Amino acid sequence: MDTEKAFRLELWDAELRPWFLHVIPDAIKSVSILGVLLLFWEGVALLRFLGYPDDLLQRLEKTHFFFIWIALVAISINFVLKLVISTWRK
Amino acid sequence: MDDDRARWSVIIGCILIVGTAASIDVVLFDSSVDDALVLMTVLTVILLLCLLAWRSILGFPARETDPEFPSRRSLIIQLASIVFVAFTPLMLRAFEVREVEQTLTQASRAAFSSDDAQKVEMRLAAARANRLRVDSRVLQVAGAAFINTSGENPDAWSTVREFLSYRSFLNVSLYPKVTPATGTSNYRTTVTITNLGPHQDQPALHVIFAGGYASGENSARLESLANPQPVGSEFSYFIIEGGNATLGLDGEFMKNVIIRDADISYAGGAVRLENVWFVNCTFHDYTLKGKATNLGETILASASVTFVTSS
Repeated sequence: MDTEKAFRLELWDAELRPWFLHVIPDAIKSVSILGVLLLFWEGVALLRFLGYPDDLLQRLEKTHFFFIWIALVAISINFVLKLVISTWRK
Repeated sequence: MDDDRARWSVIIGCILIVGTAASIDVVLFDSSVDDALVLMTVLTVILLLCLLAWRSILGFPARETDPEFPSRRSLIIQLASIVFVAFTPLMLRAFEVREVEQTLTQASRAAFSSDDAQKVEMRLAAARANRLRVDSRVLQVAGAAFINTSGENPDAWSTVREFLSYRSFLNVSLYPKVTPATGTSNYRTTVTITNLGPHQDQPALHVIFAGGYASGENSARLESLANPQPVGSEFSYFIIEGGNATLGLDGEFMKNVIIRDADISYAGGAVRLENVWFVNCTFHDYTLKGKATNLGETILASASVTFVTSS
């Protein structure tokens, strides 16, 4: 019983806790960046609704597409590199 | 990779530099989206290589043996920003709905010009495209005002068509969700096609039996007034799925019929509609003739339409 408890404690302290400490802040920051881009998208929708010219809105939509593309790429690279480097260091 | 703040500065820096570069490329130099994507990929790789080179020269920071959880203040700020971002679209939608309702109410109170009619039409079309749900009572009152003045102001009729299309969009969440029925019937359905669209590869219309068995008097009907059928279909509903054709209402007897995603035409002629649901339809060929104004008012008044006229 004690061995099992010790194993659980070690699993939590040595493996899971550091993993959570890395992943949770990263996930929050990633969601925040995507959230800002969602606001951008809603802003474009609002401008369309208020009757701004289609030409301007199409350019803004393209801009939004570029930012969401690079945001997804950067966030994915971050998660992958973190895993690769932590595995490499072990 | 353990230096959290520096890493996220690099990520945000990359997003800003690459996103801005692609935007400038498209907006100022009229490049295509594909070219901008190539530019972004190349820039991302260059930035990544620069970062690795820079880190190799300066050395990676020492590995943190015991990473710290973010401070409470930092967590609260980050979570609050996520909640704000999640709720802002809802607030924006509520604002947009109020804006449409105000426009409709103002237009229905005052004597409106052609410009006002066009503005209301555009607002309704935008609301339909953005799936904004305006209060059906506001829609009914404003639509009735436009219908009443359409005799003096023919420009208003185009707006009336948009009112009808919008009302049928609101019916999407209201119509009975019946499933297609199995079995056969000797009942002969008749629909009138008044026009064909440009998409010849699409079916004109699709008629489906739905909702199971119903006795003669209560069963669905879809026939011509000029050629009445002796008995009902013995199915609860007919569903007409729109396609490439415009569905004409003149001369039709429809009972317990759901018309989905179809273009509707009506020229004010004889028609008998009992419990007919227009769902996500358009009314491009709905002309200002005969009883068209009366049917228009009925469509705006409720989701299920019952309307009978002999002329």
